[in-house]
Amino acid sequence: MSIIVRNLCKSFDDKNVLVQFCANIPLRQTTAVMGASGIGKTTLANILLGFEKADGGEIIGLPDKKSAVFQEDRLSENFSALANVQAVCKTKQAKANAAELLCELGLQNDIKTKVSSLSGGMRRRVSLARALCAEYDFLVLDEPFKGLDEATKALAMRTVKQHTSGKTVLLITHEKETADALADHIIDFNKEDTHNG
Amino acid sequence: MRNSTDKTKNTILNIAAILLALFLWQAASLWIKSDVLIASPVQVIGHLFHLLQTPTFLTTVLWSAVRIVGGFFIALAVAVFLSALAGRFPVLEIFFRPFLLTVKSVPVASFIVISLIWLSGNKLSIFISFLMALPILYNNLLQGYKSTDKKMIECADLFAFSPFKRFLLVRLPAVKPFLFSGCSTGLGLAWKAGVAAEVIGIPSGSIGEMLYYAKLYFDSADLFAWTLVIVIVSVCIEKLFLLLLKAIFAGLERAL
Repeated sequence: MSIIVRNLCKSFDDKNVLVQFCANIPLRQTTAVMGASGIGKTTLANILLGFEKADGGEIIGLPDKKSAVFQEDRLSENFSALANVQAVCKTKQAKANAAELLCELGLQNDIKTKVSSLSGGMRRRVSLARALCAEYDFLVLDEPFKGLDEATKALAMRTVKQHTSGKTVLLITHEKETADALADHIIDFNKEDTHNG
Repeated sequence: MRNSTDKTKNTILNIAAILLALFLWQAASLWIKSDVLIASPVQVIGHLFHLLQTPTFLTTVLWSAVRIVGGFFIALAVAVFLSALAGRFPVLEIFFRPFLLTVKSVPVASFIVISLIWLSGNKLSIFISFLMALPILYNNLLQGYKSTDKKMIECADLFAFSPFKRFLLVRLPAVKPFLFSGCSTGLGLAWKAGVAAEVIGIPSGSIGEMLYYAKLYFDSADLFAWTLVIVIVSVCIEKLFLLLLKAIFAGLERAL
C-alpha cells in the first residue's frame, strides 16, 4: 500500500519545478526525499500537504489527517512552548503527552517559556514536538533538524524514530546520513528526472 | 543601564518641554494683559482647583465620559464585526468603502448639525463619538486582519485548529498592534468629536455645556480649565483602557 504520485507537474511563473514527477510513498514507512536546494522537494511537500495545487498529475491514497514540521518553525511567538504544542492536541492524554515529548527533546526547563524567548534550535524542537503530538496518518518533516547541534540532533532523531515507527513519514533532507538513519526508502531528486518526465 | 539613563534623560526633557510651554503661555498672558483673550496658567490652575471643589464636577465629567466612551465602545464592537466580515469576504470591503470614506471625509461639524435634527443632545455625543472612531478602528482592524501570516493560516488549517485557537494563535498576534494603535487614535478622536457635539447639542450637565457657558460669558479661565480637564480625563481613560486591553490579552495568552 502506497501513496502514489503520478505525473505531477508544477511551475512557478516560467520555471518548471516538477515535470511529470512520479513516486511511490509506502504507507507505515519513512521515505526520505533528498536533493539539492531549489530542486522541488518543498514544492512536493506543499502539494502533498494541500498548500499548493499541482498544475497536473494525480495523487492517490493520500491520508486526510496530516501533520508537519515546516521549513520555518511557524510557532505563535507570544505563547509558551507547551501552549504551542498543546494547541494541536485533541485529547487530555495528548495534552499530557505534549509536556513529556518536550522533555524528551531536552526542553524540560523551557516548557513554560514564551517561544519569542527561545533560541533557534529550541524553537525547532518545539515545532518537532508539535508535529509529533498532532493526530496524523501522514507526517511531513521538512528539514526537521535544521539549526540543531550534533548532540541535540542525535537526541531529536532518536525521538522522531521512536515516535514515528509504523507511521507514514515523508522526510525532506539534503543530508545523506539523516536519510540513512531514519528512512526505509530514499527518493533522490538528484537522480530522479523530475524535470523531463 | 543605558536604558535607564535614556529614560531619565527623556523624563527630564519632557518636564523641560512642559515648563517651557507653561512659561511661554504665562509670558503671552502677561504680554496680552487680557483675561478674556487668554487666561494665565496660574489663573487656570486656580480655577481648576475651584472646579474640583464644586459638587457637580464629578457627575459632569462622568456623564460626558460615559457617553463618549460608550460611543467609542459601540464603534469598537461594530468595527470588530465589520472588519472580520470584510477580511473574510473581500467583496464586502468594497461595499463598506463608500460609507466609511464618507464618514472619514465629511467634516464633523456637518455630521453634528445633521444629527441634531434626528437626535436629542443627550444621544448626540454618543453617536458622533461612534461615528468618528468607527473608520479608524475598522481600517486598523482590517489592516491587522490582512497582515496575518499566510503560513500561520496554513498551519492552523493543517492542524485543524478550533475557531478559538485560530483566533488566539493566528489572528490575534497579527491584529494586536493595529488594535492598540486604532484604540489610541480612536479614543482621542472620540473625545474631541464628542465634546464638540456636546458644545453644539448642549446636553444638560455635560462638559460641553460647561464649555458653552464659558464661551457665552467670556470666562477664559473656566474655558481653559475645562479644556485641561478634558485632556487629563481623555489621556487617563486612554492609558487605563490600553492597560486593560494588555491585561486581557495577557490573560488570553495564558489561557492555553
